[in-house]
Amino acid sequence: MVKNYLFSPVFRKIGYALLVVALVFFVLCLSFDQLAFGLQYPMISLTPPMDEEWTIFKFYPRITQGGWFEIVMTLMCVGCVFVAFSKEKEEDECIAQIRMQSLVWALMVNMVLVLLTTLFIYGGSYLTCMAVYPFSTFLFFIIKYNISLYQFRKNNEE
Amino acid sequence: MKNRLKVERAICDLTQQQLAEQVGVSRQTINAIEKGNYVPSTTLSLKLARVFSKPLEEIFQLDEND
Repeated sequence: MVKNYLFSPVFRKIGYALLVVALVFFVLCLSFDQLAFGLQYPMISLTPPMDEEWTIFKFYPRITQGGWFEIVMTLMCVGCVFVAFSKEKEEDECIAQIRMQSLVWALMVNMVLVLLTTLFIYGGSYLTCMAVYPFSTFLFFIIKYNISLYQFRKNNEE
Repeated sequence: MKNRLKVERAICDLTQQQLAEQVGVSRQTINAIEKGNYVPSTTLSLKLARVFSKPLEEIFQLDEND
């Protein structure tokens, strides 16, 4: 028996719910000027405190006020993984192949975008794009997979 | 890869759904195999051969493109 790392089908619904919550939360936070939640916990920074010089490969542990960004990112990470990697109710090897092909396609499209961004976008916008790309991979995969699955079912419905 | 799945299924008087249930795949997958749109794995091929009680080579044959 080949082991796969997929979740049970119910996790897809949980994933969509988490993504909706993340979206609502994101819009709320933007509307209310970045709500702070007072979550304080140790984080690691690559940037030194004001009075220290920057040294490569040195980490500076500090207590930082966590907020909306960390929560939205957490919800999106978990939501994307649940939506993308949940089994179908009727899972079989044909669907596994469609999933694999869609994943390859999504990774390729995303890497082309990373390449184009690296070549043609500079500065802060580049970093913004790079923060989006982990999620765009999932987005491309989810869209491609669902279209392929729909076509497969439609073409073999007779 | 060519296959005689549809013929063998007709001989055994099985619907796609019944065959699918016996080998643990969806009906659409059986249809895709019959139409030549999907080449099944060794495991699934052996399961299909077992349902029809025939050697694998009688159900699946390589074609000129393989």
